[in-house]
Amino acid sequence: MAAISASRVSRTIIAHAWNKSCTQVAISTNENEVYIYEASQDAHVSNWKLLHKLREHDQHVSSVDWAPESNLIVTCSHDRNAYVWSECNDAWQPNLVILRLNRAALMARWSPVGNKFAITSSAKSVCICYHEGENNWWVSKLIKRKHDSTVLSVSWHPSNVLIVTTCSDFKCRVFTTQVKGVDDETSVVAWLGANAKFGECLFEIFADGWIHTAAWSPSGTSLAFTTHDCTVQFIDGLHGPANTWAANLEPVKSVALPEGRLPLRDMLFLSDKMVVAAGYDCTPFLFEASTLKDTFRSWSFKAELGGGGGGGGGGGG
Amino acid sequence: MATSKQPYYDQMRKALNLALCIQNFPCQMVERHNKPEIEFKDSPELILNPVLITRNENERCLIEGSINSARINIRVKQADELEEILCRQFMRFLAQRAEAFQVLRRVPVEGYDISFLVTHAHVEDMIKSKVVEFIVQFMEDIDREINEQKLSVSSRGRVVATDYLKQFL
Repeated sequence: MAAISASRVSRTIIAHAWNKSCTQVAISTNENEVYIYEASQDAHVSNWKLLHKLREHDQHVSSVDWAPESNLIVTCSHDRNAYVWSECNDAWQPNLVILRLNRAALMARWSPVGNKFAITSSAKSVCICYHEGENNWWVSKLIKRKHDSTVLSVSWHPSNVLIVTTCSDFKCRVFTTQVKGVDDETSVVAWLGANAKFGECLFEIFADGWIHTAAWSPSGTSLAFTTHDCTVQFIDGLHGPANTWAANLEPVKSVALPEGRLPLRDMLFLSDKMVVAAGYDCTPFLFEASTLKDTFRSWSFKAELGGGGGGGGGGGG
Repeated sequence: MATSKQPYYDQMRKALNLALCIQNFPCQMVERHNKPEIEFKDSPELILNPVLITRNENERCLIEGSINSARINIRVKQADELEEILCRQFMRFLAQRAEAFQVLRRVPVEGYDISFLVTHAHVEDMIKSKVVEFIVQFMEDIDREINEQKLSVSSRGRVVATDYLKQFL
């Protein structure tokens, strides 16, 4: 299987995000700007038109995410700031986000519904940000405890009230992120049980290396994360409200990469049974689940998707 | 002679490939800074265990990795005093021109003859496999250079001595 099309847009691409209809892509390179290209299906990648330049940050824009429903872009940067960009009259306007961070921001991700976003940082904390209508800005609630080192990435559970964070202190943690007034009370109680506090760490998993990324399956019943010791680890069986499975987790299933392969930096669940991940080997890897007895699933490495390019180390989107 | 060093270089390549799995990582300690963590070592969780590859007691390679940088320290074979002097002069010559090499460190680490510092910026700019190749090739070239220089020093010494002593014949 070969890549469908590829072309040099710039020397390095740090982060990217597609809009809902996949007609536009926002790219962050080593300059401090975000470029929005028109990704037309007919033209070759090298002929994509540059539509907008989002210029506001002072340092690397480390992450870009595009909310499909509300059409808002969130960008966060090593200069401790984040902005939410909204499109009006064919131009993108930045909106201030009060992050209260004193170190770089590393990853920004919209929640599935699009009313909140999470930003991880080198300040060993995660910010959950939501919109405050009165002043028309985005405010944040910080999850300050528990992390002992830089939080490398974050991923939202489909319920909109849980996140998994991966940290360079070798641990992967799941936190509650319900915000009063933003999240619907009944669904919060359904997913987290009554009396759940904001920013509560439901469980932590220890691994043998920095944990680069974590992802939930589309139904939220499986959690997977990749570690620097060249493995991908899976936890299945996360059915029902979080307080029920947080206490008795199934044992972690570890799948090692084939001999000589390098660590994986980013991953995506294609379906509840299929995971694609890519990293320093410059090719995507496929992992598949197969159901053994009853509901016990086992994961295994399935395939490596075709020749690597000449680029340097792989990076997350 | 080069063939007997092959396993040494192969091991180095493997260890380098893994050590150079680095990423852009802003400093946790100081805001708005982005420093090679291996040089400062202020957060132990960000530093990998160092890998030491030894060919014999005289030739070693220490590869120290971290989350955003890797330091490669090499001790070159120096069998006798002449080789020691040649090695020291040659390494100093190269280290003083470290800007041209980009990945070279100006001062070698204590106990080693030459050190490389590779940061995420280098790996983003240049192809990682080529950086690994460069370092291994560098080592092979150093050995060859020192051998050639030793030969040329000896032959020049012989020529000079013959010429000088001719007057006493």
